[in-house]
Amino acid sequence: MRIRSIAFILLTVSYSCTKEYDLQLKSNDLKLVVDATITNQSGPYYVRLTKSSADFNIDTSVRHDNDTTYLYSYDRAIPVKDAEIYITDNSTSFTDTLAPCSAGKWFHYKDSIHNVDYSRFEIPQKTIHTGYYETSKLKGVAGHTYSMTIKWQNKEYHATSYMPPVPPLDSVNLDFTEGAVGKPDYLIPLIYFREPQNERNYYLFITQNAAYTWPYSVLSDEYLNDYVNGLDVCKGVSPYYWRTAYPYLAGGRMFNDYFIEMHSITKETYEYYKALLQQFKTDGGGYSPSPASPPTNLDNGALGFFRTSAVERVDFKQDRSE
Amino acid sequence: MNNNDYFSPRWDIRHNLSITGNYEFNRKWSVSGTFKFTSGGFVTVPEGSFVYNGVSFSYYSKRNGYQIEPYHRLDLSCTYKSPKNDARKWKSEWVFGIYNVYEQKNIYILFARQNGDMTSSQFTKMYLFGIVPSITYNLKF
Repeated sequence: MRIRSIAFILLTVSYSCTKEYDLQLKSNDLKLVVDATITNQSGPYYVRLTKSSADFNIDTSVRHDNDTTYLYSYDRAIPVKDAEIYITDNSTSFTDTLAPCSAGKWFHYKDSIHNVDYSRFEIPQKTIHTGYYETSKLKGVAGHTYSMTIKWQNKEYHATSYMPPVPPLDSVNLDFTEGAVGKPDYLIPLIYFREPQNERNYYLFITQNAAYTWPYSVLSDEYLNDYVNGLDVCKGVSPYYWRTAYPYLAGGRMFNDYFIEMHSITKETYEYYKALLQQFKTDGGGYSPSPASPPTNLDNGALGFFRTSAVERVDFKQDRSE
Repeated sequence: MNNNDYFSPRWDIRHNLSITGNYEFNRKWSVSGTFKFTSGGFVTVPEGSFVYNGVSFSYYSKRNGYQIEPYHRLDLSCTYKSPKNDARKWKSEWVFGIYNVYEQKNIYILFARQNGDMTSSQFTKMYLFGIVPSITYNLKF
């Protein structure tokens, strides 16, 4: 009887519930979302235009624009197909007009052996237009500044971005690390390069997108020495699961092919990615700062970012020998 | 802060109304009620989501640019005083109350969370109490 009484009191004291809440936002005020990257690698370069969504719980069974986009757009973004995009290299005054292309598709797989989901982004995909546009002749060059103009629904959007040079990577070593009990051993990539000390530099790292959908990490050179002697790139601003995306070992061998890309980025790009990464960590608690939209370099209320980066890349091939 | 624009503080409660009533039927029974209404405070909320690099992110209202729904609640109670109180030094009474009579689900915490694959978000409000009946025994001596 006493236990029942205590249980009743505890249940009463701790009584609270949750309920889905509709913010009743205006769904007709959708914004243009720009996902644009120019690098010094060979083109074509892709710009993806989509619409923002006021619906936080998108019904995946609904087709967008009466086509089959939803089948091929796993991220559920609604593509913008009727825009004009121009990118100008301000150093040479060459302007490239981008053409819509049938590119972009997320493939999601489940690795039942290691019990992880992983994703792979593949372009081009020749049958469906998911909002991608491609350049034809533009060549990305480090040290140049690029301007982008987008015309859509009687509005113009602009962005300008400088492509900083990237220091050459001397090497990347994969450092063997013993996994936790029951987990596979894995390899931590350590990078080596000479860091220019007379200027403020920012870097973005991309790893093999094998385990999760967000393979980006950003780093400021604020605390880097003249020679970066074995830097674990997850020490920058990175998702909490970054470390689990490192290549792991199966039977003493690297399980997948792997790569590390080091991109030079501007301070604005660094701040943008940092704000995006912050969203992964924001718990909405009373002690967290007020959230804010990521600070974009696009004008006229557009979302997204126009990024220009020089790239250094190192590949590691899976050991397939018998 | 806020690009030097004015913004409402979190505790900008512009309307605050409390009505209390008490009626004594006789020496034994009385009833009382309280109705409380306050306008909603101002918070910063995600106004929508967008996809960048294959992942859904939120974009936000202006700082404290969203007013949450108002808070209101009705409490009723009925008190029984024993006729024996007149003849003894100590006095007692029973109070039968109902907190939040019409079970208004007032916001205690409002939060948004992303689903597992980070492609969409869902808003949820937490409310502390629905309707709560209570029985109280008061003793004065």
